[in-house]
Amino acid sequence: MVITAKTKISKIIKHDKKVIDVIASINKLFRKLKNPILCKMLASRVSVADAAKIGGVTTEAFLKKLQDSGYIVQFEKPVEKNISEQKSNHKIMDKSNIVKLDVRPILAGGVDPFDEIMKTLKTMNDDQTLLIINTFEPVPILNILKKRGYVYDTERPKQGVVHTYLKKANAPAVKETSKEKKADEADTFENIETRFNGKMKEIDVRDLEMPMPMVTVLEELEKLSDGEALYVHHKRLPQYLLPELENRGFKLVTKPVDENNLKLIIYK
Amino acid sequence: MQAGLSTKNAPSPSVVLPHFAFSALMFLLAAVVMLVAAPQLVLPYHLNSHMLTLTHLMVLGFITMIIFGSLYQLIPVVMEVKLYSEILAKITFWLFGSGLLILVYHFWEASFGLHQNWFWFEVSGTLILTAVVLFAFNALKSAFRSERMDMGNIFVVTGIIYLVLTVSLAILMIIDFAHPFIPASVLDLLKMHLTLGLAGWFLFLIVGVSSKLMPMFLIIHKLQDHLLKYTYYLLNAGVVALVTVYYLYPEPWAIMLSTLPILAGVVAYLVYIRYAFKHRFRKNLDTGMKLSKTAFILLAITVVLGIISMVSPEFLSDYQLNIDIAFIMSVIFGFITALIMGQTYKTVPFIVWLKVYSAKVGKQKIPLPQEIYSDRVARLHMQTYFVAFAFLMLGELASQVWLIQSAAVMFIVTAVLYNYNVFKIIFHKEKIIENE
Repeated sequence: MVITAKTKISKIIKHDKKVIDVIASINKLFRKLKNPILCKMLASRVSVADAAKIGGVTTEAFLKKLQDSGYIVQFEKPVEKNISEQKSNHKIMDKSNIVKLDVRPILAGGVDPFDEIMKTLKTMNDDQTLLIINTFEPVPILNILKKRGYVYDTERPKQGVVHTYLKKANAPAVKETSKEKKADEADTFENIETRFNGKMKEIDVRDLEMPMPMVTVLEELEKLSDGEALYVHHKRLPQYLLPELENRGFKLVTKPVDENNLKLIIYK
Repeated sequence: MQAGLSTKNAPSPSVVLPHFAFSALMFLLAAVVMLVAAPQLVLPYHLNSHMLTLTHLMVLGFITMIIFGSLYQLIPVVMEVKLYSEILAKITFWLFGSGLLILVYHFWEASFGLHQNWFWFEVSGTLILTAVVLFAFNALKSAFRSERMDMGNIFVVTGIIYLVLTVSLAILMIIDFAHPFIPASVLDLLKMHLTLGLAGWFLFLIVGVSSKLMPMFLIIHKLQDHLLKYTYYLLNAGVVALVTVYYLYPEPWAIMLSTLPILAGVVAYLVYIRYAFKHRFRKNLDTGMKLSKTAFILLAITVVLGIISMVSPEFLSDYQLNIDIAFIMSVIFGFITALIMGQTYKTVPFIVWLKVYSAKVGKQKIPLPQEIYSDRVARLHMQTYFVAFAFLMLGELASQVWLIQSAAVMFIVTAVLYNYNVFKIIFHKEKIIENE
């Protein structure tokens, strides 16, 4: 088969499974393809050009790598138009009224965040902007939303963190707010850890029998004063606790250490 | 402003709880059947309608039903995925429950003579097979979405495949009874069915689930997972070999040879469990865990009976059939029953507690899961259960009807007490503890 910028990744994988390894070697972001769920959800929806964008490399570089590994590829003119189109989006983007959605914990739980993003969009007004925080640009979802009249803009505040701003295209454009502030507020584990430095209570629930981990966490949360956060050593992502945290308006960032060790910071 | 917390993986309690209720009632019904059918339970032949009623009430009604319910709860938690379909789970419950009741009623009524009408067996068999296929579809579809394919999950998935095989073979047997077409003896088919069901479905499932739950309940961080791997290969080799041998070459030496890997697999599993109990952080065991520990001791007894039944030494030849039946009974009424009763107390209270109290944890003083059932009743039925099991084993080995009747009475007492607690948990109403 001849691979072009428009070829769907899923088609290449269907043709030859080993291509996953080749793509994974391009960039560490693509290593996620080895995760079957991500592979399934990404590969079926993205083309080579999209994939290159997700990984932050040029389409040419992507195709070149495939060519080096023995695949037959056909290069095309660089997609400059795309970039200018994005630039213009950039200007009309209103980033005041932001609703933030960090999809990384969802992905970490092995779930496709598509539904969650759609659900959140439904609850929003047209003058609000959705900020999706992820480890890559969620091109498949963006492609679908573009057709539904959304515009978007992406930023990479740091290595491995991608902010995507999404907004209804016909909504009135308002002045641009400072982007730096948003970047600082990114809900990464490290950022949250720094933000609550010295204002965190630490508990270890790994040696407790269920439901005591959950009870302990929730009891401690009730005791927290404003502006404080809870740092939890846990054995796994606490499935029963998550909905309850959401009900109580708490947010959470996680950092896995190994199979039986997960760090959580729970904050408001 | 949620940060993607809605990983609401746990299924609705309305999916899970009916399984536990139904299962508990079937245990009670089985105990009553044991009392009424006691004289038939010592008869020297296998295809005995009362024996079949009793065993199927236990293995399908009590055991398989509770496994279905537990798996719907467990798959989402340990595999970190959402159950594929809750509606499918509810449909499965009704198909399976009705199929089972039709089946056991017609087992009870059957004569298995020349004029036996097989129609209702075909109907109930089809209902059960449909339910089992739907269950397998639902469970496997969920499991394959999981990224966490460790040994425990692989055991569960394999067990489910054996369940489908067990029930499929049963259907073939029913058709074969009505219109003979299988070139193997009924007894050998029955043994294949038994092997697939007990060593395939139950054993794989129990090993898989317990490898997840024991560390959770006993609080232990590092287990000897290589033992699980040995268990997996040994059990698979044994089950496949034994089923093949029964069908193609049912000679005693071949049967004995293919049983060896199963026994070795069980021993490896027991060593694994022993390690977990020895190295646990949680030193004092509650009633649920005591019952579970008993189950593993009973499994060791079962292994011994299994070895005797398999080797069939000359001096015991008069008792061969008694030992065979005692062996089967000890698997069903011993190991598995004790484990289920124990694990019921570790899981059902938590499910109900979560439903009733999760929004109040930390805000109000609330009871803990272990406080919403009567531990006194649980300890009591643990005692009555020991007596019941001992009577049953003695009764089967000595072919004494009165011993089996005594066992049945004790099982009824056990089942009534167990039901009392199960329903007390299921119908638990919110109770806020007042500050004294």
